[in-house]
Amino acid sequence: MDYDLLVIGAGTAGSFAARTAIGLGGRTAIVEQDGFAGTCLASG
Amino acid sequence: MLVSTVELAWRARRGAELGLAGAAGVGLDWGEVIARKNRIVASWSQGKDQALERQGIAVLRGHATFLAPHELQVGDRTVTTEKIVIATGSSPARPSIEGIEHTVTSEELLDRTALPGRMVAIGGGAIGMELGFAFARAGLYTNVSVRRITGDRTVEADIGGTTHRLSADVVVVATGRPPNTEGLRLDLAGVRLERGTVSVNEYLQSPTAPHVYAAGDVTGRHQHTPAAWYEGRVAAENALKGNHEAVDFNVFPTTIFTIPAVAQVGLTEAEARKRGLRVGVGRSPFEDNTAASVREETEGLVKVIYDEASGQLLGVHILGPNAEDLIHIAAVAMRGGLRRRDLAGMHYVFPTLAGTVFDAMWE
Repeated sequence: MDYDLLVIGAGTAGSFAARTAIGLGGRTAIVEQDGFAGTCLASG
Repeated sequence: MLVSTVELAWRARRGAELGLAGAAGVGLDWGEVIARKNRIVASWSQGKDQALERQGIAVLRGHATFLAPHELQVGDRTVTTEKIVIATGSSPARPSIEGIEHTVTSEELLDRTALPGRMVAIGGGAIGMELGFAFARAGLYTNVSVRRITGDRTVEADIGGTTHRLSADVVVVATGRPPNTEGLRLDLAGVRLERGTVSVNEYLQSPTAPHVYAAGDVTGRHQHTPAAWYEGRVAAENALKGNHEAVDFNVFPTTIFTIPAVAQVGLTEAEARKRGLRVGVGRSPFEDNTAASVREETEGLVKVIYDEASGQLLGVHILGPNAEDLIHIAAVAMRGGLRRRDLAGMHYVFPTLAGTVFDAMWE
C-alpha cells in the first residue's frame, strides 16, 4: 500500500484529517481538484 | 465577512441617532467589498498546499475515483491506501423548479461586484436568511419565503395562501447544500449512500466499508466549519488508531448571521417537551439591558430552557446584539454542568450585553 490514509478533499475537514494523520505518524496523502479552503471560508 | 461589513454600514448610518456627524452619508462600495472578500479568501487558501507538503503530506492534484476498495485513480496515476477519509464537501442545490436557469447560487451571488436592485432569495435556511438580511440591510428588497419560480426572473410565490408575482434583478437559490459524491464511484469501495450523503456511524465510519470514514459537509449532518475541523480530526484518529472516539454534538453552539444574529445551543423548548422533560423557561429581553439601550440595539432576547427539578440547562437561544459571542457563556456552562442557579448568582460587569444571559437565569 502506498499510504496509511488517503484523504479526498482539501477543504476544512480534509485538511484537519490529513494534519491529524501525519501527526500520528501515518503515511498520508490528500487529494484536491479545486482550491484549498473550506466552503464557508472560501465563499465569504 | 460581508455581513460584518454590511452591519458596520448599517450601524454607521444609525449613528446619526447617537450624535455621529456625517453618518447619514455612509454607503457601501460593493465592488471593493467583494474585492476585499476575494483577497482575504485567496490569502487563506494561498500556500496551503505547500504548507501541507512541508508537514510531510503528499498532495495529489486531480479528481479521485475508486477502482477497488483500497485502490483509487487520481488524475493519471493509481494509488493504494489502507484507509480513506471522504471529505469532499457540498455544493449548492439546484432544485427542479421551472425557470431555475434564471437563478444564481449563493456562491455566484457573492462574486457579483454590483448590488442588484431587487433580490429574491428562495430558501429560508441559514444561508437564505443570511443573504436576505445582508442584502436587505444593504438597502434592498428581499423575500425569503418564496416557493416557486416561473418565467424570466419573475418569481411566483405562495405567500400566506395568496399567489404573489415578484420581479427581481437577481433570484438566488439557497435551498441547501447536498454532498459532493458524484464521480467518486463509492460503490466500488462498498460505501453506502443515503439520499446522496455518505452514511456513517458515531465513529464517522462507513458501516458497509469499515476502512472508509467521512468528515464534514459530505456526511450531511452538521454543515458548519467547526464541525468539519472536529470531524476531520476524529475521522483520522479513528481510522489510524481504531474506533475510540465517538462524535459528540450535545453542546454545539451555532449561529445564523442575520442582523441581529440568532444563536443557539442545546434543545429548543419544543424539543425538550417532546422528550417528556419537565421544562422551565426563563426569558430576558435586551430592552431591559442598559448596554443594549446605550447602543440603541434593544431588539431580541435570551431564552433559557432548563429541567425544572434539577435546574440543569437544556438549551439557550439568543436573538440580539453579539448573540454569536454571548452563546458561548451558555455553551461553557452546559459543558461544565453548571445549573441555572449557579449562573443566576454570577457577578457580572455592568453595563454589558452579557448581563442579559445571566438575567435570563432568574425565574
